[in-house]
Amino acid sequence: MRTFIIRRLLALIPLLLAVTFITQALLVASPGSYVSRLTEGRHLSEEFIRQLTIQYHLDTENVFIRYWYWLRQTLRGNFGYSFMYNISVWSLLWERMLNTLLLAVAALAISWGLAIPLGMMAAVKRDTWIDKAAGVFSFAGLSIPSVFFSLLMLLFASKTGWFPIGDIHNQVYWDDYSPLQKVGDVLWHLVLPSMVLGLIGTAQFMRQMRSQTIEVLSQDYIRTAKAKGLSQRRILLRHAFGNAVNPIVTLFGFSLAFLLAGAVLTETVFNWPGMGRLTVDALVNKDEPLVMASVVLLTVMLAIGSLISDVLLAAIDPRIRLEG
Amino acid sequence: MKKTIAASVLCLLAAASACKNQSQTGPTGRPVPPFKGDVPVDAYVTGATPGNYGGTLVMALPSNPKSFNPIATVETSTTWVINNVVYKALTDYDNQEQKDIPGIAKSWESSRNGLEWTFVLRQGVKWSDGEPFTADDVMFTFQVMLDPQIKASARDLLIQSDGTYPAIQEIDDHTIKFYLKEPNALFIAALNNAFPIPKHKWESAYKAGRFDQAMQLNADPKDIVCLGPYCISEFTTDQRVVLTRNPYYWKVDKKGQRLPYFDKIIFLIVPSFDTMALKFHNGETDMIHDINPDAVDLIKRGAQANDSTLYELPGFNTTYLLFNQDTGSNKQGTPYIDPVKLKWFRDPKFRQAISYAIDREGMVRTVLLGHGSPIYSFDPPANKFWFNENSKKYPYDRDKALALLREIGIMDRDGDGLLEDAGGRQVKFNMTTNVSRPYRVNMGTLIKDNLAKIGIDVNFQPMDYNLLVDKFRVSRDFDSAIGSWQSGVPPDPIESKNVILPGSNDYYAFPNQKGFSTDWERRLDELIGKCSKTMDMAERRKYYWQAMEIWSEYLPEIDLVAANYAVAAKNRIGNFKPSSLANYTYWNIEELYFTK
Repeated sequence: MRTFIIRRLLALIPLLLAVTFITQALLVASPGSYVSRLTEGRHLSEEFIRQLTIQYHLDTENVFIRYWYWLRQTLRGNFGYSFMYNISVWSLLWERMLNTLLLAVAALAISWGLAIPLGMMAAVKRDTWIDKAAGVFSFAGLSIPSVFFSLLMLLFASKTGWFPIGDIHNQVYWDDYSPLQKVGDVLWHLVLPSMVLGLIGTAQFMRQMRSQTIEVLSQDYIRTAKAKGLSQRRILLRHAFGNAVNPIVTLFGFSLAFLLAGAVLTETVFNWPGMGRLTVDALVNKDEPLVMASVVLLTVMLAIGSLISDVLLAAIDPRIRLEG
Repeated sequence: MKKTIAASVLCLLAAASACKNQSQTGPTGRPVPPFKGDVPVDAYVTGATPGNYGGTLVMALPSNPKSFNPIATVETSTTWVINNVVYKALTDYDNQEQKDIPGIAKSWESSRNGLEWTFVLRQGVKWSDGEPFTADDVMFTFQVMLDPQIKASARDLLIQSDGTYPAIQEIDDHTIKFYLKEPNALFIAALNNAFPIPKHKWESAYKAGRFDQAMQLNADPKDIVCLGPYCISEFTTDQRVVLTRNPYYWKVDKKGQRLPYFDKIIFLIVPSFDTMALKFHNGETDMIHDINPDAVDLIKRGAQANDSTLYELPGFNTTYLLFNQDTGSNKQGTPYIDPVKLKWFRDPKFRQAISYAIDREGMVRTVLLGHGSPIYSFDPPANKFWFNENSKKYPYDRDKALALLREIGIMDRDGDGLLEDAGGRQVKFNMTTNVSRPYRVNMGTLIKDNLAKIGIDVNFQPMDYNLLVDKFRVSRDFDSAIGSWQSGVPPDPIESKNVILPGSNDYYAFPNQKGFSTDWERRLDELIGKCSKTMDMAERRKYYWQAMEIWSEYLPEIDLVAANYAVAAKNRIGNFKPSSLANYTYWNIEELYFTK
């Protein structure tokens, strides 16, 4: 197990090099630069523009030189300063990463927490109204665009006044709160965005869980278990669950990827200070050090996500052994 | 398991109680924290209604400030937070009257020839850390600003035709003199954007060559010593900027009470305009500016419920259609644009015909949902002093358009309903704009439709912003494009001379031309040059208006519409004077207060 994890982490190094090089190449190849964006439509002297270009090392179009420049300083442990904010990229990314993880974990908890029991129930009560209602629910969840869903949720919050309009916590009275109130306030603000992301995921997982459970229930060992006279409940939880949940655990890595990178729109609408928003902003403004650092961070997080799903699989499924 | 459920229920209860505390902060009648030091000898006495102390004003910004350094700043989300809030300049601008007013300089005068300017500073003014403000600080600020090693855009307005900057001399602790080589009509405007910084705080950083890292986002807020009514007290990226009262601020009201009135200002960072509108609608923010036409109704509907008012002001944001008239060619020697098309685009009659064929009223009605007005020259009517009523107008008239085109040999030659030029080539061109601006994209669709009605086929393809900028600036391979301008403060057209001066960088019809490609461009350049070197305002306007008559006749860009500028504020804000120039709802932030 340990060698397996170490090997996976070592494999991350060439992956990171490739990913960052491609990112750098795309940044160079796409038109415009941070400076051209900054100076657009304003009265700035040529001299000033030239000064900025040199300062940001944007004076060469050679990908290898630009990449080498980035790599050299990164290997020294310095990910550089964001062009836009003029502060070190880690101080920007660190807090965002936590915010995004909070949102992703809450969304995953909601989607797994709903999808697994609902999917199993739909499979057991196949073709009854419960199954059909679950089907309608999951199709609605799959087809509704997340921006639209987010805006609907905000309108809901606005009409009822039960939930805040965006933000990660109350911005006006935050400093006056007790620690417990702070926790409560963040959770309260977390409800709507995590519901949006979670419900969209639920739809997907529920279909998966339902079909897996149906398949597992038709297996010989389930019939054997039934013949032994085990209760329905025990059959489902002991025998069927472990096997049916397997592919969903495999999906963990992918769903984490979706939640980290795909939550941009939800983050923007809900004003959630997450990584997706920061990264897209950085890309639009071509803030290169920030883009590169978030690509590194996202890659590492994804690799860890898929590692976790492998380890989880091994824990659930005795047939899987993690060997070096 | 039971325990965790109990804990989470408790948390939710805590949240609910927190949410109930959320009553609005009203005036308390007592400034917290209190003012410090004495009222300056030369305190500025505002003419505004005396107000009430206390409360927190909450507003929203679409993106983060990028620095707190007023010298090395070129970015609007930064200037919206710091200009005239955290920093104040020698001279100031009254957005309502649209005229210059005194700032930290209590008075100034210029010699008759406009080459020598003397500024008298207010006595007894202090920085927010209690240190006295003197002429030394101003000298230091200009030393930094004019240092070629420092990236400061504010100096660009001061540059003289031989590339030098005005000389500065300190006469005494409170008097400063500038020596210019030529008259500069924008001198006061330039000073308006030159915000003094404290010498005692930054001199060592400057001498050590570390000025670029000074006053950045990660600085300790205590180090960002300010001269404006509010100082930075906290910043969390993508969440909020908190400002608190400068206890030494140098303005008083008519009753002799010191300004400002609010205890705290909070800017929320809200990237989505829809969310921003909803936040105001629900009373989470006190003021909102730059409301999209489609959110205007939402705000209007909610006005009664949350006791607010929506103001629709004539706007400074204008949209234009531009034809590429560049005769140059790229490195491979290929002309930037097809010579046949170039011949059409360079013909003033062609551009006039297109201008007649565009239904501007329809554009205002459909795209701006009625919130705007048609324009026919560079300046919108909102620009009280500079707007030229007499520039040439192009009311929607298809027959006139067709007649003009016929004069230059463009007509339907083969009876297919489409126009061809004298060489038999069908009149067809590409048009583009920034894809992320839905209003411009809708305008493009409308123009395509308008021109189809006279038999011109437009291939409209919006593109990514960076690509568009690259086409404007570098590759130059586009036929026509829709763009927009937003005026600076003050709205003096000479501030936009990079746009209106033929051959300048941002004169996108034909930038960086050698000499002048046409006679009217030479005349335009001459008149605008005169306007920027004359001091007498009436005379300047005479030159500028002549220039605009040429502009509207020859159409280097076809100006289309000016969008209205909608702002809204709670009715409980006193001295509220909305403006469509920055800082829209809070340009007079020190005078604002809560009436209840």
